[in-house]
Amino acid sequence: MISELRAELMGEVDEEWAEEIRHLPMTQGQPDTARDPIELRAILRSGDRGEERADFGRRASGGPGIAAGGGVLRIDRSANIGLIVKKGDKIVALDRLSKPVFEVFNVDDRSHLRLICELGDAV
Amino acid sequence: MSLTSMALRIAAVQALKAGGTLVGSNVLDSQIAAIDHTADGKLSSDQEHPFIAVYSDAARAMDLGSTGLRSNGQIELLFNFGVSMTMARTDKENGASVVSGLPATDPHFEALLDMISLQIARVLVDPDNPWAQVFGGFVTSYLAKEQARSSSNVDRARLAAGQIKLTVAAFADPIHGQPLAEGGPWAAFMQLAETDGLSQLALFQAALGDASIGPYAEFERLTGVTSSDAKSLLLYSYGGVPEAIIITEASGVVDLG
Repeated sequence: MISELRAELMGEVDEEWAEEIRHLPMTQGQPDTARDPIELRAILRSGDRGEERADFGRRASGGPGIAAGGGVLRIDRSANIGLIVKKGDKIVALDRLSKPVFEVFNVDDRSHLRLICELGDAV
Repeated sequence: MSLTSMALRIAAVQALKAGGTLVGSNVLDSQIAAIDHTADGKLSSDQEHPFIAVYSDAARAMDLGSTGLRSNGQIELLFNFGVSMTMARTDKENGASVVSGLPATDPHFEALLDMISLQIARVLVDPDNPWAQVFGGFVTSYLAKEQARSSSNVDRARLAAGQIKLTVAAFADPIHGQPLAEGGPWAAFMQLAETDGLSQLALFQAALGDASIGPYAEFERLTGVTSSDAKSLLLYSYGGVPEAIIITEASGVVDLG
């Protein structure tokens, strides 16, 4: 019963918030031939844009960083059975202007509802 | 933060731009603000490459006896360089991305940092690079070179960065109106600055002034002594008669009887 309600709720949320994305499997910085790229609908929330900067741990740490936003991707597992997302994979936001690319930093696959992926900016 | 450190920094930036490093012309002078990459990469095509940012950081001078407050002593120059995932163009069909000819992986980022670090050290002593020669001309000795690496804590974008802290001993700043030696670093610097149309040229011209030779060396400005000390030490000999006046033998004799 609860799982039906859960699925229904998730379906409603996805209907409202999900957008078209393309998942590009990568391995060692190269396209992963063992997994096929697919296009699916998932919830992509991109983060506040701010500066990502290297810290040299001493007074003169200055230097410019990179303005970036990152984001979080939540994929409905029940609608995408068998989808494997790994660290290093890329995500293209197809609905957005100029189709920004994100890189998967880590994947939380412990929830039985959603695959939750932390994303960083790529171009 | 002095005329010489400004010139050192600019000479280093220009030398690195012309030096054909992996960063191309993406050498930044004292960049503070973040480097911004647009989603399509078109608006920021000049910053697709890794970058080098040059700063003249702290300086320390001791025993200012002979050069007074013009002293530069040891100047720390910082060369920050970095490569980020946002500098690699991704093929949006298959995900392949390349930065400076290498797939955009962590080991390749590191390899780029190593190469850039090597190139910085090579370019700054390149005999065929006029700006590098000017840079070396301001330096009396290279005192220390420290290298550090770092990467971001990756919550927004992957960034690997390296830093060279170069400590050099540099000549003291010239005084206003000081005649600049022909073939010296300042003369070469001003000539190159004019050729390359540097925007800071007017600042340098104002700070250096037109060469003028006064009756005496300006001991106060050169060494930091006070006027009263200089007079007490008889630095201005003959009670301040200008040296341009030549005292000759008496030309006439008046017999007062």
